[in-house]
Amino acid sequence: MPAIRFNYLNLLLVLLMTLILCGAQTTFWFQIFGSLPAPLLWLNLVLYLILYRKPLEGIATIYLVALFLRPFSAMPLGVLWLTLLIVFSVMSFVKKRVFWPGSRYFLMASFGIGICYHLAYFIISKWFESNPATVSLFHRFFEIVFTALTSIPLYIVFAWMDRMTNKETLPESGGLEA
Amino acid sequence: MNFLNFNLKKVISFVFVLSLPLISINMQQKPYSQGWYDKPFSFLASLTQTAFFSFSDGVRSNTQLYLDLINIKKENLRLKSENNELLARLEGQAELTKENERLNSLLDFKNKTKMELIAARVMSKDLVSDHNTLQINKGTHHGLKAGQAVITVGGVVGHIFKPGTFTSQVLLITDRYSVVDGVIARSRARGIVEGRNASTCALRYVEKSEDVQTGDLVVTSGLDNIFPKGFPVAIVDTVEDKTFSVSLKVELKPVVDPDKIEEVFVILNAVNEDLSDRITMRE
Repeated sequence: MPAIRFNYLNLLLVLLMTLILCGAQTTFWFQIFGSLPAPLLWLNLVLYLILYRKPLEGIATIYLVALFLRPFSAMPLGVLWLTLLIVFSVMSFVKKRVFWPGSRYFLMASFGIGICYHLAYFIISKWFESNPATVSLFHRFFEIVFTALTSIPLYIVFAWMDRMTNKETLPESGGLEA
Repeated sequence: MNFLNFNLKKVISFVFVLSLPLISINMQQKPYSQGWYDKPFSFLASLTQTAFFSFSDGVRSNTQLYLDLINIKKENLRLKSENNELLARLEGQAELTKENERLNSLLDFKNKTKMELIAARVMSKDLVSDHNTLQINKGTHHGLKAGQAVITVGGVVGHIFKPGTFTSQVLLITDRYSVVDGVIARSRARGIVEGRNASTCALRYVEKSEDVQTGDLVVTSGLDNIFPKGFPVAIVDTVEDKTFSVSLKVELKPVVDPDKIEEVFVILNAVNEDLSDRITMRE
């Protein structure tokens, strides 16, 4: 019984963290640094959910997180879900082959998820939208770099959240069991 | 080999997970309508952004205060050696004058126009770089509705996309989802201003026979019932006449730089305002 309570508490913390990261990215960064490309802080949370949750729990939580992300952007919910589903599939595929717990892996995976997200969104935009997204290589590159740079402190916060709520994670090499 | 031996639970989960985004995309027919399920999330987002805006404001003013203190210290040292305290005061006044001029121009515009306007401050920008939206600190509580025009003294900014209770999302004219009916002020050639990326737009569906030149000003036609007629939108950057295309390829540079907007006006009621005369005078 307590385990269920802790899981709910963890979920609540994850959703609260989503709001905090989105607020920090869209408002705080914008007010302080202006038009400088902002790190996709929420993408690090998505990555953590992919790496440290069971597949079904992970995708369900990510879909829920997307509902909280939506008001911060003009991106339609369906496109956001589909992009995250592709990102989830690719990163899960990579995780099943190469995985070891720790911040160094998280940093590398953060680079990977940044590239994967931009590619996935670009392809979906080309496919579904009449006026698709532009390449904007320079801007995307800086976003990926900044996202990766913020990954280690965020990983420490996410891991602390899991520890505090006694959240069961499976940090063995090789990833989670099916 | 038994092909029918599969895990039904896994198949159902897989179909559900895959179908959810596809159904959602398919149902996305009215981008302005907010479903009941969307409102609590928008409200939470609005609260978060308001909190972060206040926090950022505090950080900015404190940083400014700290920088000012350092400057004052440096300035004092210099003034002590030069015995010229009045100069610093004058410099401070010049900054205030600039700010005063900016605010006066906003007030002047608001007073002179027949339109019913509401001023708002820019709080934040879009979560992803593929979309160009801004969050402003006014919402339905202040009388804002979806589709209302957002402008500055210089020109068109965008329109209200998703109004919240206390904050609203503004879709900039540079966003790919944005379309504005526009005309070339000089030749009256018509087209649709469509967003491209953070800093450019395109004027589409302009007939090849039309007279469009680099440097031409594009203004609102007023036909979309969102923007007042004759308000500046963008300046023609390049014009390309491709052999196998039915229309001209016109690239535009918005007159208002979205990265430098701090305050905006939302038009509550345009009362058939025609600003064409103002453009003619400017030209």
